[in-house]
Amino acid sequence: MSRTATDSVETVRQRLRAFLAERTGDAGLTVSGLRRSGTGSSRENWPFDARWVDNGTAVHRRLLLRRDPPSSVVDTGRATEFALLKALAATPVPAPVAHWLDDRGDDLLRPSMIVDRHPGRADRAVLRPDKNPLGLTRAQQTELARNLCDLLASVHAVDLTATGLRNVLPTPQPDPATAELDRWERTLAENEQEPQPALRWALRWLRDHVPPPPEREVLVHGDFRPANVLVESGRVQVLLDWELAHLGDPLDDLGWYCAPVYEREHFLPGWSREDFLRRYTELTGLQIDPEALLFWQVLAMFRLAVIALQAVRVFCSGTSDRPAAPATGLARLLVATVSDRSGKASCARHRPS
Amino acid sequence: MRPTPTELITQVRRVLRDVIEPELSSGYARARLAEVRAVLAQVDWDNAGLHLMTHTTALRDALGDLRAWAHADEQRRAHFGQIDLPEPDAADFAGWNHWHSHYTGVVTALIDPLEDWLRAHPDDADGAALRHKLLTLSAC
Repeated sequence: MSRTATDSVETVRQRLRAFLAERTGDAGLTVSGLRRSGTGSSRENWPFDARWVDNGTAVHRRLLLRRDPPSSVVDTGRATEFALLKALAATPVPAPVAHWLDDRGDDLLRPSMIVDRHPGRADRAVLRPDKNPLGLTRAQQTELARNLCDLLASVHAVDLTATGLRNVLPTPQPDPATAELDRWERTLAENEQEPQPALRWALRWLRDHVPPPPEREVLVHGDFRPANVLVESGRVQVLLDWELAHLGDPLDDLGWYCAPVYEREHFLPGWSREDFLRRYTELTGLQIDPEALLFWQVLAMFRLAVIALQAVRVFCSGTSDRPAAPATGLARLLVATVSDRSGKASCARHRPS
Repeated sequence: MRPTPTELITQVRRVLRDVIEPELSSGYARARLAEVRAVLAQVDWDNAGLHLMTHTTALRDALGDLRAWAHADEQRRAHFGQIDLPEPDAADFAGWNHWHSHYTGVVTALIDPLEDWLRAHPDDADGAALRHKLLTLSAC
């Protein structure tokens, strides 16, 4: 049985109340409405309300407990993410407001962070005209798609030195592309229950096509897509899920956003991949090398395939409640791209089935 | 005829949707149930064993073709070295799973030698065709 099942809502509530009472200095602090939400792929999300008294003033906060699952699909130190969110508070980037950290899980049973709970809804299909879960007009969807591009440009415009982020996130060595390749090759090796020739072949292709380092390293979100953006009344509210953030190449995020597996979710009639890249260039001045972008698109699919592999492993080991089946579609996409040995293939040619 | 595994799973999915899901008040439980139903629908339950056996055999055959090509030329033989391909002797899913893992391991070990060979011999159409076949099989 996983620890997920053993940590009842009441147990978490009691731990949470004691944790917050100590940090706010109010022994009478109350926690209400605590429940485990269905969202969150790499962290558990527990929304709740807290009420306490601060210097004689009643405080009511809508908060969110973000807890590591028993087996995390991605591996980023909670303390690093907490420090990152604190640093972003001084920037125009709309990131969650972080309040408290239990880095080792001493109090909250697992490594955890408590952040403000913001209004809005994050839905991966928000830009899809056929699904349209937020009921937006076509014009609102197109405007939102454009605003997402603006949001990504603002993330990449963050001053790494002024915010202190260079002291929070390591400088990628020897270069951003190789550092990411090394990281995800290690993750593949940790989760490869049987040899994965499709992924190993993609890895070879990636090693053969490492792009030159960027002119300027930026803050890379690492999982930038509509599923991680809270939207309220058609407007961007908060960019969520920073656990994969790192310093690196701006094309890292662009390749992830423009990966063919996301084609139907990120682009719509009147807002194509080319429109997205053109606007990004207008905002940032960065000219996008198609060959370098292809590398990052392939790496994005490689990462997704490795994450899927890991999800299957932890589910089958009984340490995750999230059912997962092998992602053969991703492997086919990868193979279709790298099967052109010239390396001149365009990801735009290969669409998910 | 007896019901197939897929027919049984289809009805299990129906019960999960029509009977279990309406009784769930927890958003977390509903989200996990949706994933359970999706995974049940994603797997080809009727043909899982057959697919594994067919794919393992196809991998073995493709590797045999590559070995024959590699060993037909002294330079290639020296480049690729010995390629051991024992015949599979499986009788059940676990047995075929073992051999599948074995052959995917052989393919993985051949990636770098094959890529290096084709980089040095870009006009080797036979080698490129073998690469294409193995690469395509690798994604199944």
